Amino acid sequence: MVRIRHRIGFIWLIVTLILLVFMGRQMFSRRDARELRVTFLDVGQGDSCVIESLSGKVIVIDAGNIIDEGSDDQGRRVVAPYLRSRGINAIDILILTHPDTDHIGGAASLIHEFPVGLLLENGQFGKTESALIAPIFREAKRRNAAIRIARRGQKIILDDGAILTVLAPTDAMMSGTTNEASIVLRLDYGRHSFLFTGDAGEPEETELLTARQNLACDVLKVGHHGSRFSTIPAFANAVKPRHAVFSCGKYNVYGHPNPDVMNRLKSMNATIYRTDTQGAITFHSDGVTLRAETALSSPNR
Amino acid sequence: MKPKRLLIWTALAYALGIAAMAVSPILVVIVAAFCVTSFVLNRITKREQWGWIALFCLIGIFGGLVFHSRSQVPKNDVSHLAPQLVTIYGTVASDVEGLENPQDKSIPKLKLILNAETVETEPGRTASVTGKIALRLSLSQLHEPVPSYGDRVKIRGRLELPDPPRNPGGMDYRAYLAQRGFHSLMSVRRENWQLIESYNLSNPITRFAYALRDYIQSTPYNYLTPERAATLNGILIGTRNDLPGRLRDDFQRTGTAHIRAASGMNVVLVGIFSLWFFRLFRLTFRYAPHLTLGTILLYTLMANAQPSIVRAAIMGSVLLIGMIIEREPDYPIAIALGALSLLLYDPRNLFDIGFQLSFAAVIVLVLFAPCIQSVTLQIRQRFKGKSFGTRVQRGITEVVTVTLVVTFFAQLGTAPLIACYFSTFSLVGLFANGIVVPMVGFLMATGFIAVALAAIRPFLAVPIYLVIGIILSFLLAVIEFASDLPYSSLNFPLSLFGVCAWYAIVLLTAFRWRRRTQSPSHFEDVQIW
Repeated sequence: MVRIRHRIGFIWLIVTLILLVFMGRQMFSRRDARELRVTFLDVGQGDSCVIESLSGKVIVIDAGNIIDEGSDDQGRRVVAPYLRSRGINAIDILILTHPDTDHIGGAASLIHEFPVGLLLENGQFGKTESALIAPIFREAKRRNAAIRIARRGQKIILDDGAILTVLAPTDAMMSGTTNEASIVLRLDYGRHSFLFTGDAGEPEETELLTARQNLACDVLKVGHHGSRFSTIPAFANAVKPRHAVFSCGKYNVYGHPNPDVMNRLKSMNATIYRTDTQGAITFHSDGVTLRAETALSSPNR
Repeated sequence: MKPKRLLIWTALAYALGIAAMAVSPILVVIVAAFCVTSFVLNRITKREQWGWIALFCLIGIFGGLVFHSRSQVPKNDVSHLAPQLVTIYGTVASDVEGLENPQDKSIPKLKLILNAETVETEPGRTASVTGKIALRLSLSQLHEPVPSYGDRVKIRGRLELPDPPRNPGGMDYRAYLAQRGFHSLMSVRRENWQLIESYNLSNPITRFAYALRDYIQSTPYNYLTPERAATLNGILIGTRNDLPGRLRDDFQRTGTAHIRAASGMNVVLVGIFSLWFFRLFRLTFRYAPHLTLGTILLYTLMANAQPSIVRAAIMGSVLLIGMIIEREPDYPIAIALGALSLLLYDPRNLFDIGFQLSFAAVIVLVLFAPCIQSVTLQIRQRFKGKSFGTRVQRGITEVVTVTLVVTFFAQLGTAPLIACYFSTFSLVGLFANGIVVPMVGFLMATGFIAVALAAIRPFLAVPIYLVIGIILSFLLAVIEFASDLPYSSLNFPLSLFGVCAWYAIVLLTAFRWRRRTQSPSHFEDVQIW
């Protein structure tokens, strides 16, 4: 009898251990550890993009919109659930391109929930009157996040060859509007490159062209949600993207994306992606091949 | 040989049939084939167990078929007209959400459910329709008249289909609403809403329950800050509105979200308080359970008859009926009856997260009930004296220890589902719940007393709300502190396999442990420990 009981105990131990090992593997191993993931989230009329590097570094560019002083916070409703679903427990770098509500609305709640290593802003946050900025700094201070100002020429070397370069703003741009001082970033990994333009409009694009910045890329996050004041022909020609992503809201009142801008990019044989019709758009790159997937299989508009 | 506890096997077979149909109809066909085989074997071998297997397969097939029929959108469902601009005549089928805080000076956005009856796509062209619409009503100014439960109204707006998940990890709003029988939604401005008839076809009991709920949830705002009032409303009747997003995150991270949502625990407390209250008024033992049953029914209606509440209400009713007819309580049977009732009413409940969390928690608690009992027994043995000091010591130790043990087992049951649905796992849940849960019972009791006193004379409720305010401040401070702790929660997405593995370990451990404790020698060991 004692022998049978011991045997049952032994079987229980073995089965439990096997199941625990399987569960542990599932919990702590990242699924796409062999590729760089860049996800443009559908945050309605706003911007938010998550970069996941090969070694698990996480960079979030903008945090989406907030409406009605607290309700419909896209940081809570979209960005945080996405990060959780990816098993992400901390944000290494949070980049807020400029202090507009549709870009920083969800930042405070995001920092409240996730530890942030570095908060990168465009240098206008201290000068802008917005009720959203104080909570962001308060949460960043609580989280002991380092706060830095982004300037042209700064490079963030991620790992395995991925490099994030700040193309704009410069000190001279600080006197302009918030949109014209947006942080513009370039991400290079293997053969692929991504350009994140925030809400940069014609003046900033012209400055980037004048300063002869390296703008050619595979994936372009189209500036200012596809507004007609962005992605001027000269800029589009310099970038010549293979894929263009428009981050805009379903039934937005601004008429984004502008049809002229879309046609301009289509004429360059760029594949058009829109978060309002396709939901989140994810690019996977192993440095050699680049593939895109959308959350909604077919446009539902 | 007749299987023991037939109801448990029936509920299990019915639930498995629903799950099989949800995965693939082919599985149900396989079950049907197995059913026929079992029946043939029963006839050939004359062995009774083959007959039972055939019967349970048949119950499973029935469950699958009921689920299939309920999952289909009816041909004349109003959602087939989406997306387009339509005029709809229908009856308000729910309480109106969004008016909880009478002190709020912002223009509210209301949420309600409309039972569609007639639709007008073009002027003069009407058609009869069915189906529920999730309605959002925007007011243009404060204090405008709003619809209420039972009103027949005419609305005009754009009928939409709910969104599928637009982001990885995002909520599947379409599936969420479909589980509740909704396939369309609409946003309507005040000027496009018109009252046709008041209180059309409304149930007076439900109307009374809703009116009572409206009063209960608006009263605390007259005495407490919006944050505390919203928390108290969550504890009393599970109202989730008005709580700041930051605080909702804190509740989620600390594994205490269940206290601001009406759950089985609320029904248990309502049942205990009601029994105590009715006995206090010297009602005979015989009538107290009857009145408690009525109170539980009213509370269930007030809490919008969420699956977790209905589950607890059915279980509570079974136990109370047991008291009335003087029978010993059988918890597994009560659980099976609760599950079967909910699934017979609507098989889609099986995929409701509230249903799953509620049953997972209570099943694990019942499985480990001997462990909880042995802990209580040990405390009572350690503090045997009858002096006041010993009794106080025993009471405090019992409350703290039992709370911690119950929380541990409840979390053991719910953690994999939370990790699967929300990709998060609270590491401070035991600590936070250990402090917070004992306060909930007190807050529920005093909260209802305060509401009752406020109805008699508003000033009578002031001192009670003062105490409630202090306790709520402490409760919220504990939750914020626990949430701010490093690694208060861990994010990881658990797949279905992970969930199954977790429950396999829990079940194996429970049965092994029960086997050990059933042996007299081991039971003595447990007592010494």
